[in-house]
Amino acid sequence: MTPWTLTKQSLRFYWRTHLGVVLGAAVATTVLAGSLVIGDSVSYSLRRFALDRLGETRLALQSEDRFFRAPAARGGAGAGGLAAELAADLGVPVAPVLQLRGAVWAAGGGRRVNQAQVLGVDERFWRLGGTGPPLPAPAPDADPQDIPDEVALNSHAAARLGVGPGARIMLQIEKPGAMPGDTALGSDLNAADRIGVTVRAVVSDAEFGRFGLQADQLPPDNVFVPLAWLQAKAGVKDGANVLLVGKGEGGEPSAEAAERAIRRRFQVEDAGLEVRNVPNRDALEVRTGRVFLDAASVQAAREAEPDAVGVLTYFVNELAVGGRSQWYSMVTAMGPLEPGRPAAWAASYVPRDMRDDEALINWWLEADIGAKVGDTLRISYYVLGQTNRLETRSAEFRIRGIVLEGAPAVDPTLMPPFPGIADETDCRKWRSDIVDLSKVRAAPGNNKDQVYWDKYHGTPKAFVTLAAGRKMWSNRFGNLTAIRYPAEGRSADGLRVGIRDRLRLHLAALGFHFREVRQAALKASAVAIDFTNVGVLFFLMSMFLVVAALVLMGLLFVFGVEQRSEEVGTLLAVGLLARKVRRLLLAEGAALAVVGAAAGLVAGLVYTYLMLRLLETFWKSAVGGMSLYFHAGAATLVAGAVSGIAAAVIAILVTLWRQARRPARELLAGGAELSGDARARGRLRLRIGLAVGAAATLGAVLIIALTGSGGQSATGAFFGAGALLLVAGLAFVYAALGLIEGDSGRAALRLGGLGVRNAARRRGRSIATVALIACGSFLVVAVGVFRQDPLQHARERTSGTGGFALWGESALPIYRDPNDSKVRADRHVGDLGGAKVTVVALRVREGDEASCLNLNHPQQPRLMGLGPEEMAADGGRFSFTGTVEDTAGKSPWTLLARESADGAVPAIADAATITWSLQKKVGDTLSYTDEQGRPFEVRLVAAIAPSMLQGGLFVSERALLAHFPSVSGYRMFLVDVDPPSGETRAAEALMRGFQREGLSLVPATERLGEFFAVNNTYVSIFQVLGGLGMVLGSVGLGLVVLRNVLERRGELAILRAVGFRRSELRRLVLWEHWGLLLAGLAIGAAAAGVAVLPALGTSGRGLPMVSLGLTLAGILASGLLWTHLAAAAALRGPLLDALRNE
Amino acid sequence: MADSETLLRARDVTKRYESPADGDLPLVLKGVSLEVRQGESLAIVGPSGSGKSTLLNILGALDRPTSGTVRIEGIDLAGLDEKALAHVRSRKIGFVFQLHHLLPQCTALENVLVPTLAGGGMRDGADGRARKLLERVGLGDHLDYRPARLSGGQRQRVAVARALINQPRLVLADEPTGSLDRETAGNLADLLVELNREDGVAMVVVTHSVALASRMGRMLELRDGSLSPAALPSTGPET
Repeated sequence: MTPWTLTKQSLRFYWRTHLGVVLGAAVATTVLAGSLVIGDSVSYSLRRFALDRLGETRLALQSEDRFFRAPAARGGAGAGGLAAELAADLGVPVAPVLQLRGAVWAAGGGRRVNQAQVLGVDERFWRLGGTGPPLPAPAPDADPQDIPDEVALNSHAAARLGVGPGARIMLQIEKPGAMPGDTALGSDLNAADRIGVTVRAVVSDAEFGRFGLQADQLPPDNVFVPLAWLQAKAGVKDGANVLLVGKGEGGEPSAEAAERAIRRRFQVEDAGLEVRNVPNRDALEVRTGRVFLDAASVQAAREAEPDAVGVLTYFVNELAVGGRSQWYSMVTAMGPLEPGRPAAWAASYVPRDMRDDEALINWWLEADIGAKVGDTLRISYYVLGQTNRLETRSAEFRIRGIVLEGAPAVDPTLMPPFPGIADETDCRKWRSDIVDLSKVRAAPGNNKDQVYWDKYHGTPKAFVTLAAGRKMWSNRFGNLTAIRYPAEGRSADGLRVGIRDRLRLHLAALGFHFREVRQAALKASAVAIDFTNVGVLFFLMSMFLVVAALVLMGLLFVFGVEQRSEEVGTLLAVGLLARKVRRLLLAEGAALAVVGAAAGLVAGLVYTYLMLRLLETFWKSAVGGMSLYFHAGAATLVAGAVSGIAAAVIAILVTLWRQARRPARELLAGGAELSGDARARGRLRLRIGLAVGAAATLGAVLIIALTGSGGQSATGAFFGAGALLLVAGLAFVYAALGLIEGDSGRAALRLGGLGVRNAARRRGRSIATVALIACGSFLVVAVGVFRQDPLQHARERTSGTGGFALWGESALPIYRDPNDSKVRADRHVGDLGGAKVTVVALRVREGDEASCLNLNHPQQPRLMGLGPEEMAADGGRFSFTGTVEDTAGKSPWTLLARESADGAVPAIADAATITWSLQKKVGDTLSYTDEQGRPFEVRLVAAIAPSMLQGGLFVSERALLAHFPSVSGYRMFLVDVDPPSGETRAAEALMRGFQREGLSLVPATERLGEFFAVNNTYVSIFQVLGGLGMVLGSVGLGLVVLRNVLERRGELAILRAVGFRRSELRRLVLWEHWGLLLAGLAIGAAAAGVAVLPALGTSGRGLPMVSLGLTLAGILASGLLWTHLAAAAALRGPLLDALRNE
Repeated sequence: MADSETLLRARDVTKRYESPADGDLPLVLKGVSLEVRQGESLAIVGPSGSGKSTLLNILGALDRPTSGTVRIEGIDLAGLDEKALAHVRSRKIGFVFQLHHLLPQCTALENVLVPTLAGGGMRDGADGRARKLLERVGLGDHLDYRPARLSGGQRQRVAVARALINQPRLVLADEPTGSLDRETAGNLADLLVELNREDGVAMVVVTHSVALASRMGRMLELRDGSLSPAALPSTGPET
């Protein structure tokens, strides 16, 4: 005989009693292990997506709108270019990609995908994905124009379009213009024509279809096309803007090694520069297809050779003297870049001593408008104002002299390659939205401008000093269109090498820097074990269910032990120490816990599977719609089992602690209620209960009084106060039971009173029951109030929509102000039904999606640039939960315009984005790298209350452009419609007008609803899990009833014997337990009411009376049902037999 | 009587159940003194509520007196902590209760062995001793029977065997025949007397049963909390 023999015998003998305990432990383990495995599955899925989207890619370089040399590899033929050179140097695969934005839709007006990634790739790309190309490689000698119009869609895009292989679709690609769209001349020519293409293949995630450089759990919509084809269609000859460096035989490439290699291989062409001998001029010239030379290139050119002369040629609207004018001409500003070293030859264009308010005009203009030396020449030109609105400016100059025909300054090469103009032979075919063709004299009989264009092309008609020109036409892309040098003693090759060597020192400034994308992706997908982890959230949300299961298990276990109190007494009497008896029972309990945990572990896997399917379907908002892979790591399973066992054992320990403390003689005498003095104990409990209750109530009142009801902190404080009131309520119940216990026998005996008195007899059970129901109703009610309604107060400027009616994005940037009546007219926006439609346009710098729809941890979230004054006007848009400093009554949006001492860029973000996605708080900073590779900080200065502005950080447009000058045009739009009834019409009209850019507008409430859906889904999950917990709680109540009645069967039989009717006995039992049920419900609901007071005032929240009422009614009904069933079962049969059995 | 032969000695034992709210309850035991020598058998009789069971609980280290001393083999129980008291119960005393209190999940043999679990586990030879004890109480062929398959008398015999497994020198029995019919009660009384005589185990039996009491070597009566010698009724049926 050993303790283990006894344990084994007990387990076998009491297996029926133990079944409930095993089930309780199994439920607890199911939920615990299930939650952990859900977390595991989400982490695994995120990691797998991260690896799927990158394949073998380790490093990536994105040169944005700068296109480096990247001739496509065709049919296995070796290709030159930067990628091939780096691959040779590093001994690892390197693939060039031409990545452009686009829109794609099924032919015949079918479904549309606006934010598509169009990727021009060759076989090198597919090798990085560990797969073969889905499209046939073009023949080595094929003309790009002859490559078939075929694409491969990734499965996500194919599914969204509802197309498969063989389908015809329309593709629209953002054509990277020579000139940035954010210049007056750049206009919005960038959208390419629509191209009809055939879907050749659909590539799955496993086939590298998920490729993307942004951390997002949702796959991008990818359209793969042959690199050579896209280069031809987009007009980017042999160019690419993404370099992917993979792992190869050379091992893992490091960013440093890649940057060293690119420094060795970089050519001026990779910077988009051209160095040439100016035709028919004794000069060398550096120019760029991008029209304006950027600062880094200018610096390299200046450092390479002295005597550099800056040239800035601009396309002006009007040259006028007096009332006579001539439309659309080139005007050149020219001057030495190093003032101390003026090049002699430059004086033949602009005299050295020409003042900044003087100008030269050519003979043709002189004749055309009848100007003469000494007259005032007014130059009118367009610049881009706020929201890219075209604004006409003008400047006046005194005419200093005339450039005669045949003079060196009659130089057509001064005109940069202005898109839509420079390459046209017919003036009437100029493609620019700043040109009013009716003013161009190109028609037969009045073709003066066409004649000049035919003979002199873009030869400037006027000259000003470089300083004057820069003052008028500088923009963020540059202030020179060319740099010239005297050719004497120099060669173009020598100059090219000189500039190249200097550029190599400043590659980061040109945007040529590598990012460790794989490392960043794994970091983003390595979900921390915190509140943002779905598994942890599930775990926390399941806690009540777990606790309910454990309480139930504890009750069942203790009932079993109580049944065996004589056995415990015997063991104590024969000399076993109480400790040893406890240990024996604990061993028994632990064995049950292990069996339960083992069963729970298996059930946990099924539970996880079901939950994952629910997360992919009904609850998909909780995981941003991503598909999930089932994954259970061994460590997780062990942790789940151990935690289940530990929780069960702790619950058993707590119940045992009380049991084995009772003396043997008491246990041997039958266990219950023998010793001591009930009255004295009752009074003591009354005092303890009152003291704890009063202290908890006081604490709650103090918290409420000190916090006030406003602000985010109030939510937490009130929740704490509610929890304290819950404790107070339970303490008062404890006191009340003590009072009843102490006073029993004094009050007049009534049937109801007898029921109440009975409740006090088994205080522990009664309190456990009340606590379980109170906690359950508290949580279910309190959390239910957090359900958000996007429609509530949606029209108010302080609501989650900011009062905007529509929210939208465009596939391609919109370069012109959509509020401009001319632009609306040009775009045939049409009838807005009399509604006043105001559009707030935002610039978007791509980055990681940082809304609660993304489960990854964003490293560098998207940046959105806006005009702070637009958002701050009329009291400001949206509500704020916190600001970094007092705004003195002004809208917190004004903080975006302030400059901080440390140079950090002020940013505002949605509170949910800050807290959950970024895990930051107001005042914290995030590190970014700007377009030139320079690090800078972004400081969170304010947090917006739950709103539709999730997903990124909002900074001032000015700050955004200062760090990311290449961000051209606007891609996000907030639209105000007054009156709101015109919302649908306005949306249709604007989308029609900006269809070319793929503008898509949705009601702001719909957008807000998507984010609220995340929150609401979690509320639903919580309520479902909490509801299950409540069911267990009700079952527990039923068990308590059953147990209480069975224990008292003899007493009840006596009552029956003395004349009580069976129905009276049932009433006696039910009153006792309904009292407990109602007390639990009342305490829980009242405490929850206090906890959610501040939340009721927050935007989008009100008291959801119906769902709350239903929840409480459900709990009540479940409690009543189980109590009734248990009472009926216990009182069934001939009760008087109990007397004979005594 | 030489001290060396005294196995159990109680001096001026009182017991009062306390009630702070309503003041003290009356004394259950009022200065009870008694001695039990090795191999002696003693019956304590008295009416219900006279404190017989209370006295037995105190003698058996299951309860503590309000005042007075109890010594077993010269050891004052008042000076012992719970662990030592448990040891005394385990090694020096055997208990037989009115209700047998057998563990329903264990066989007869296992039930007899249960006390060996106390104080560090089963000692050598316990199993053989248990078998012998069961044989001796007439249950040698019922070793693997669970209590549910045994009659009331058989269960009580198992309980007696259990009381003897640790070879105590003192057996305390609280109404051991209280729940048995006359014939079975008689058999059990025979067994107790036999054990006392043959093994020299001292025995203190609390009982209402005159028949059982009369089989003991000495009889004391507890009335109103005080102990006094009792005379054996000469005739009359047992009730």
